[in-house]
Amino acid sequence: MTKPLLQMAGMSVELSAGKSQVDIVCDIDLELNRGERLGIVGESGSGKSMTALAVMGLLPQRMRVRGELLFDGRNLANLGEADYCGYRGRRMAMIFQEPMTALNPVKSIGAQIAEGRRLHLGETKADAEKKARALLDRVGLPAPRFDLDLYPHQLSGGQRQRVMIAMAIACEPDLLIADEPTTALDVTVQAQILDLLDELIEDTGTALMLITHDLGVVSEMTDRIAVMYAGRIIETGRTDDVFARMAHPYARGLFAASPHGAALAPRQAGEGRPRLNAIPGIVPDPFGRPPHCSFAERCAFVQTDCRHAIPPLDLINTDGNVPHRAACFHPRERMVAP
Amino acid sequence: MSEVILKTTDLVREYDLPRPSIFSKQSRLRVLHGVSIELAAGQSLGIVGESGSGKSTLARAVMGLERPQSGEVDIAGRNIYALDRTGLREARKGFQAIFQDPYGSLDPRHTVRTIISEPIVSLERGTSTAERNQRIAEVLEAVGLPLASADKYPHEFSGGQRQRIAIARALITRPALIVADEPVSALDVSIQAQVLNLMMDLQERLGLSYLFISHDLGVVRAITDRVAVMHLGRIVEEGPTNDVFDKPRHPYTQALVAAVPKPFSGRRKRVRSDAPPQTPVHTATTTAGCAYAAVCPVRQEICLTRTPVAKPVTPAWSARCHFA
Repeated sequence: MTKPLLQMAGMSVELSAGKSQVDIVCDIDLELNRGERLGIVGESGSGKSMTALAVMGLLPQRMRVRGELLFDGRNLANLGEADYCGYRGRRMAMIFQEPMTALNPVKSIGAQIAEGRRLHLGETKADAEKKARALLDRVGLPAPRFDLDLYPHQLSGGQRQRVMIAMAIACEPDLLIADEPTTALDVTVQAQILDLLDELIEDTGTALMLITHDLGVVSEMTDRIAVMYAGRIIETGRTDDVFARMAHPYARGLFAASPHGAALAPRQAGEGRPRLNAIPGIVPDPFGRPPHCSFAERCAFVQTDCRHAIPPLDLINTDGNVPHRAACFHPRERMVAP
Repeated sequence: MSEVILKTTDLVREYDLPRPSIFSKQSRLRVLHGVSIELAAGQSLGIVGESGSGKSTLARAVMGLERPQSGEVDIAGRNIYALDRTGLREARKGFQAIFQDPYGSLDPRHTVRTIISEPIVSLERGTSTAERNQRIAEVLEAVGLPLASADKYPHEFSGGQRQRIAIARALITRPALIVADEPVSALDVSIQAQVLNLMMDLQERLGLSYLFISHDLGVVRAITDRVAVMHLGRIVEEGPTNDVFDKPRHPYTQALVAAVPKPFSGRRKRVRSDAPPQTPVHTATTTAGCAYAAVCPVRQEICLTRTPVAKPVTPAWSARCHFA
């Protein structure tokens, strides 16, 4: 078997605040093969974006990576900035959430798309711009309406996100990380962007790491998912398996709380409106995470042993070649199909 | 039909566009093209649509914050734009707003007590301190925050708690109508569910009516009785929420509902289209024909020449399409 493209083993992201240190992301074990699509799901503060930034080597200054972060066999943890520049944009690229702020407002979109090719591949300006033109056509922004010398403010949100995608795929990277690529967009535009991403990945064979809080988006876009809570992966497996079982109470709670879930419950006439199944409480602060299961305080199925140790990410089902794991002492059984 | 708490009639709102030169004629952008909605007391009406469809402008017009060029807003039977200053002040006690951004809508330099009591201080002058304190305790209890939070500052709270503070501020004048503009869009799923549940509880306990504006169809489905779908400043479909989302009649509503990614739907089925992405544009004035015709899959000749009128599907459900 070939080596995975990206391999994280016991990877943590450490934040130093004054004298104290805290792990924002703890003990991540994750693999991603070429051409595979991985979804990372979680709420804000779960560490999903930090995991992505760690891969890209874009962590804020006070944070550093511990453990193994292998990309194509090389450990990127705490790699020097100069070496990282050879990877970033060339071998791995990122699509950010806010197309409004992630583009440079004073450079034309053509120059921004061509920049990567000129820097990484040493192309001439003319060649790079020719390629940029082809890329814009590829992402659905045809000439002459969408010229290379347009500036980001002349485009709508969805068009800007297309430009971001064109920039990301410019050097044909092996890994594409999309951090909430459609959260800031309207649903119809979101559908167009997801279609575009889907098509590009199919054509180029790039690996995708899709970070989102939207269960609908991961369900439609990914092969495997990892659900994160309070800095740890709490459930992972094939997307279909995880959706079919949702062994961890948090994964299940997240699904039930989303209005998608509520829409499944029909309304009873005469009675009051059915309530959403909210998860009580809030996500623990990274500085105050308990030494036991961090979901114990909010969990409806909590037992005494949950308050003694952090549950390991155990195998709960071995059917198929992708293991289904959950970090829970009392994993739930198969869900009744909705 | 029970009493109508909010009724707008043919609201038209236009904005002046910047003039390319001081000699050129002033041009205008029409953002609301004659919007009429009705909300019965104790019910909730959702307004859905994409950005730029005019839903927030409608909310601002209903709140009395932006006078429309024509049309009426009647709240509890009174046209709020016909009232004088004192009259409007009095009427404002009956309708309050909750905004989207729980970080931007609370003044960081004020304590929660000051923030929450501001509506009574400005709208109900002469309320005694004792009564004010009692009302503060009442609303904090109603939104599920401890009394001690009154002396804290907004930065000490999480996003969900801040939105509870915003709800407490809206409730303190004991309004009958609450206009909520994307109240849960900035919150995480599990917190969003808590806040929506709270809003439903309050509605049942206090008999509130909500004008609930959101782009999230799932959220709207969870909390509203009726829904109005807006497209480019026009209401294209209106009816009971479940009916409209289950069997949408207007092609735009159908496109919206189909675009939402759903769990359990398996791998995405792509709609391949070679047409460049369409961006909807507002028109300066009302033109003949249907505004959705440019991108509509079922477009016919008639759509380009005749403006569709609201056609009833059932007595409580209508769609503005020639083929609904």
